Amino acid sequence: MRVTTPTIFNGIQNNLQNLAEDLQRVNASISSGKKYQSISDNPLDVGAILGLNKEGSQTAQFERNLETAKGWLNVTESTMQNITDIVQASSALANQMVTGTYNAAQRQAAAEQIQGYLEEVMQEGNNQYNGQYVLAGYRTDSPPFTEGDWQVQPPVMHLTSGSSGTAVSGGAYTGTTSRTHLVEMVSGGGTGVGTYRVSVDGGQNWTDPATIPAGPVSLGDGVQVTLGGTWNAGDRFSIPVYQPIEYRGDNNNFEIAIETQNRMVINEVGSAAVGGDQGNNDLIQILAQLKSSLEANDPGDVGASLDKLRSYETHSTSILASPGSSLDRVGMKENVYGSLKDEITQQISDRGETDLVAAINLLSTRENAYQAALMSSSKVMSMSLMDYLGTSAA
Amino acid sequence: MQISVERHGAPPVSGSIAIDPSLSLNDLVQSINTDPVLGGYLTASVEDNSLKIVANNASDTFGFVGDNSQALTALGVNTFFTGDKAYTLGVNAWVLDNPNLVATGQIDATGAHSVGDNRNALALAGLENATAGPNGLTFSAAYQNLVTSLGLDAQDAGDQKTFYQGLVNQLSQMRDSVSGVSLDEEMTNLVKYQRAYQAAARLVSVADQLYQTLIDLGK
Repeated sequence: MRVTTPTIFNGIQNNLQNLAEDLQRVNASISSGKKYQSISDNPLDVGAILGLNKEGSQTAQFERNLETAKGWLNVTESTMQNITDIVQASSALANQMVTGTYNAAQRQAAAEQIQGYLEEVMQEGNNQYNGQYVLAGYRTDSPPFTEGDWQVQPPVMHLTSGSSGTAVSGGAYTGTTSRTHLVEMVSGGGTGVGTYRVSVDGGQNWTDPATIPAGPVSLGDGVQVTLGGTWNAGDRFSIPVYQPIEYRGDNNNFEIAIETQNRMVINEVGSAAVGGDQGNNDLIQILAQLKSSLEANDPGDVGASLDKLRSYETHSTSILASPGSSLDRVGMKENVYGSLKDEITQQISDRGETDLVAAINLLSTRENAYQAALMSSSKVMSMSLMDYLGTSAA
Repeated sequence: MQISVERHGAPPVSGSIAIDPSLSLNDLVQSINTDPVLGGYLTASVEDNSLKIVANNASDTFGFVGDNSQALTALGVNTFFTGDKAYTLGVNAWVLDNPNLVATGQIDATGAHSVGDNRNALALAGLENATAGPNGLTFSAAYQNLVTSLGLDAQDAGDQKTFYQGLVNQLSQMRDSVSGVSLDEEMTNLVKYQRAYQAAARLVSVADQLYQTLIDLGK
């Protein structure tokens, strides 16, 4: 083929241009640390890297979620553990008090101890993690367990056989400490016939017997009871007065995402786990009843409360199992995500990051090629027939 | 649309506001203010051509639920996003500036809206892995597809460019090989013609000498 001067010069220009582009690409990949500078460099790899990045950020989020879950579950677990300990201490105390060898004064003291336990249970129930109340369902901004107003409770009746006595408690308490009013029939009969006496210290001190009136009987500090029916001598009932602990949370389970399609419950609902739902395993109610029966010096009722405490212990063990097993799952997931994250990082780096050794080798190869091209080009460019014609042609 | 008001420690109350397309903003304000339940708790007004609802009792909180009419979305109340076109789409500036305003909860049948409620947040986060659109892809997969196909198109265009550039170069070379100027060739020709001229001149010079010799003979 006939090679003309522009062909030679254009060829030099094109080749140098291509080499400079190569050089620039290698240089950019080294200085940016990224293998590809634009999507079109390798669309499939760049697409895969996008997917991996998404997966990586999701995994990081799930890891943060697991951290939160661990915090909540740990607080829940230790709360339930502490409550179980308190329940065991209460059971031990109740077990002592149920025997006949203790007197009213000792049971009063025990009642105060139970009051202390009750307050501890409430405090435990109001445990927070990161400023959020963990047993409150979704109402994490306010304490789930609060003491309500003083309430005169319904009477706990102990009638002898054949008695048809009825008692309805009422009135508004004006006192400041919790107590239990014990009422005992001294002689049988209905309104205007039977006589009763009252004690507020578990039967250590009694009032003088009085005849059952037609209207409500005032038991002191605003507590009233209306007696009806026909009583037998020896009938007893007690009317506890205390500030019931109320549950102000809700019944929602707090969920957190731990996998793309999987959520984990990280809380226990306070009303079911501790109390406030008035059910069989309402620890707050059980302890309040235990306290009242101790105040009333009634070993029989103490025994009944003891049975309930034991049933709660079984219940709390099963509740305790749930944060425990969830914590195990969190641990497993953390391991999985730990290695998954390493794998994703590795893949992103394999696909997208510059292999420095290879890139620097490539750079020196390209550099050599460029220099060789420059050298040969300058040789070709400087060659001219004129150099040899000079003198002879003149 | 239902509005549910919660006063601390009291069960939430809610009232239904009927929306129909003929309602003006003032009508809506009117129907909120005169609602038998909500009227006592909330005061609605029109401010800067926008709907403004204020709780009468500063400690009350209120939320919206079951807005089938999409009136709130249209009014931009309580929305995550702003804008009405792809290029005006954005995150609501209020939410962006104050993450506390993210509606993380959902108001259920009881009307309660507690701070710890994360159902809406879970649902929003769930969108990341939810399929959407006619191809049943997740948002990120669809984006990945878009990017990859864009990249493939760009790569294809780049390849085409290289191919046509090569073709152009090839044709230019062919054209140049026919019509282009080779300096060496021209130089050679120049020398060739120069030599020919020199030779011709030499011939003339020789002839001249010959004639000179002849003329000198006749002297």
